[in-house]
Amino acid sequence: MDNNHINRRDFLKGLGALGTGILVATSPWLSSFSEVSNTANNRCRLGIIGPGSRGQFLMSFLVQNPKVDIVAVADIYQPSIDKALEMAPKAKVYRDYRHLLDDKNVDAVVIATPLNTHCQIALDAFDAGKHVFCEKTIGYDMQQCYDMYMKHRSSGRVFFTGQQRLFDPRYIKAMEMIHSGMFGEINAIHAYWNRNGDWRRPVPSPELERFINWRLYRESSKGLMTELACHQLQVGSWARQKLPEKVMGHGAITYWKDGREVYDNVNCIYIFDDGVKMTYGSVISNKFYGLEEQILGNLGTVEPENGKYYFEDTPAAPAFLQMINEWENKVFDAVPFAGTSWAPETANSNNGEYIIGERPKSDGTSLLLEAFVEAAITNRQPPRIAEEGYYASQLCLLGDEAMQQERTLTFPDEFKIDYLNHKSMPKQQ
Amino acid sequence: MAAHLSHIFRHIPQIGNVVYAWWAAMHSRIDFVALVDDKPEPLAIDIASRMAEEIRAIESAANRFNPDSELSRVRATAAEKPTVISNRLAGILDFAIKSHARSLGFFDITVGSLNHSADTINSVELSLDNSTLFLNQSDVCLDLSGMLKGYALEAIRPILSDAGIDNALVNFGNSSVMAIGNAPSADGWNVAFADSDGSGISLHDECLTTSGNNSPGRRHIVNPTTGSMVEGVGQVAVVTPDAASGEVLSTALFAAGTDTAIQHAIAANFAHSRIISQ
Repeated sequence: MDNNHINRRDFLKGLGALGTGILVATSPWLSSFSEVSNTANNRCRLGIIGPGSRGQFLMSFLVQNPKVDIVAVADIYQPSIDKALEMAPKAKVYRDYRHLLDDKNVDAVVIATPLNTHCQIALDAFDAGKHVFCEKTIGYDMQQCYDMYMKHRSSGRVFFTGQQRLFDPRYIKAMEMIHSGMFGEINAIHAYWNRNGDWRRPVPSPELERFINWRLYRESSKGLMTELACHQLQVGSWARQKLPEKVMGHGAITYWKDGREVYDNVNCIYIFDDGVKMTYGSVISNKFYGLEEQILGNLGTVEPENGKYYFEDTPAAPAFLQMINEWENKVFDAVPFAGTSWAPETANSNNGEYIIGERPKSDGTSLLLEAFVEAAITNRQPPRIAEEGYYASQLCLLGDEAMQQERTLTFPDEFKIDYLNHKSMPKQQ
Repeated sequence: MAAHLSHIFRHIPQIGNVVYAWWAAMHSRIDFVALVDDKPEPLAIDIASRMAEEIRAIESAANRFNPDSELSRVRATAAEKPTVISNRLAGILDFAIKSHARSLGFFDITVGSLNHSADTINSVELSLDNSTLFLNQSDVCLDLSGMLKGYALEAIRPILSDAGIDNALVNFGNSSVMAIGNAPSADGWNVAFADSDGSGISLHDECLTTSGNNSPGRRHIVNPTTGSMVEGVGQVAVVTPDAASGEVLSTALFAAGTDTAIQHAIAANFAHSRIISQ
């Protein structure tokens, strides 16, 4: 777990930023760290609702944060409670999340339950005055997502969603480069996530099948779209600073015909108002190409998962790119590039450049959680973070709906909020 | 057909507009960074495009490896009779021929000729008045590649000054670097060697040129006085007021080897030059 842990100072250093000023333009939610030193003596008292596998993964970071006390856990499945208590032995155990929400010692909650239960728990948590971190996808349908977002706004409580790419150094740096125009106009995004496996968890007894393997059943999940696509669709709107208007797609069960109800083979085309497209494909019967969001500009390509970017023709000189970045950060150093002639063959190869070095330490999860804790302590919602999560969820749900109906669907006006190119509709009296 | 330019354009507070354009030329990459003050992006790109066009013109005149270059095309007839060549090629050859004496014979564009001797350069008869070239000896091979990058940098210098660019850095294949004016918040431009500890040298309206072998298998510079390839990994770096002279000086010093008396004698013909490393 330590490999995934990265401290904030290393994170900012790795991005070449001496302060967060430059990056905040591209990733405004990084302002969550602006008061970190002032909150050194504050604690956030957390309740974990649903400490299953994902919940335990989140807890593994939270228990390392000195500003966090995990004071309560709620679950209906004893093995999950047992594992949670190993990490947070002092946590009070609740069988019913509503009793956890009644606990005045809980400031904020992490919701990591099955998808179909998120909405009611989050609404109840906001009503109870708690700050909410909810795993993605946030709601089971578009209405639920909307209700959750509006409740966040009316309650004035902090709302984070589990979109860890927002805090992944590779993505933050890549977006800074994309927004600067380095790769030209972004005309296509090809996102995919391929695995080879049945996506099942072992079930101790048959009656627990739908409870343990909730991801495979329509009543509790929308499968690949809500569990995987959600992360990647958000990359498209982050890169383009706008939201797609329409989606078409097709989904089917083509390989794992084992009684599951969600597709194991999906493809969607999201279309922006200018015709630019973001495609999403996922299969779980071949893992060769893994996962990626290929961001295709007329001057270059970014593969943030792979951590690399490529220019279309002659690659740029990293030293010169670095020099200009340093000027923007008010650093004026010697530029190391001189030497004997470039080997001619180098001019014809295009192995790409690393966005921030060869082995990034973090996928953003620990920083995302740290930012949530800071926001909860200061009671200050960082800009755009709830909105990014909201639209990531809505887009994957709209894609699923388009596949279900086998129709091209336009983003419904009633679910638009004031964000990027979307404007909320005046409500009917 | 203009080279395909890629570029980045940024507005940086307190520095102004900054352009970085790069493209492939002469089997290398050119990096052009300039502080363009309040000039807009299209104007900055236009300047880079004109530079690229000038370099392309020099390459198509003088690249001996390209069978369609002017040099390749006139070579056969120039061996038979004085042949009219372009003013551009004549200018390049004139500079190259004069560089032979200036380098005490250690920079020699005829070094690849069969039966090469110290006199071979004299078989290249160039008339600037008539703009003709005559090779009075058969089997003379002309290779301008040892100086073409530096020559091209000097050729684009007027484009920059005409455009009002006072602060710029142009890197041609990492081996020829032309610094004009100052980097932001600096006196001159600081440039470091890629394989160094990062300590830089400061260029004040000067050019940095390196010659050498960057790997054991890479030998490409011939000592004209012995006719043999200079062996071993090593490099010579020089700072000169102009980039074309830098090419001549660094190549000659590398070819001359370790004889410091000869090196000093060569360097004496290059006013205001500095030898950085050997």
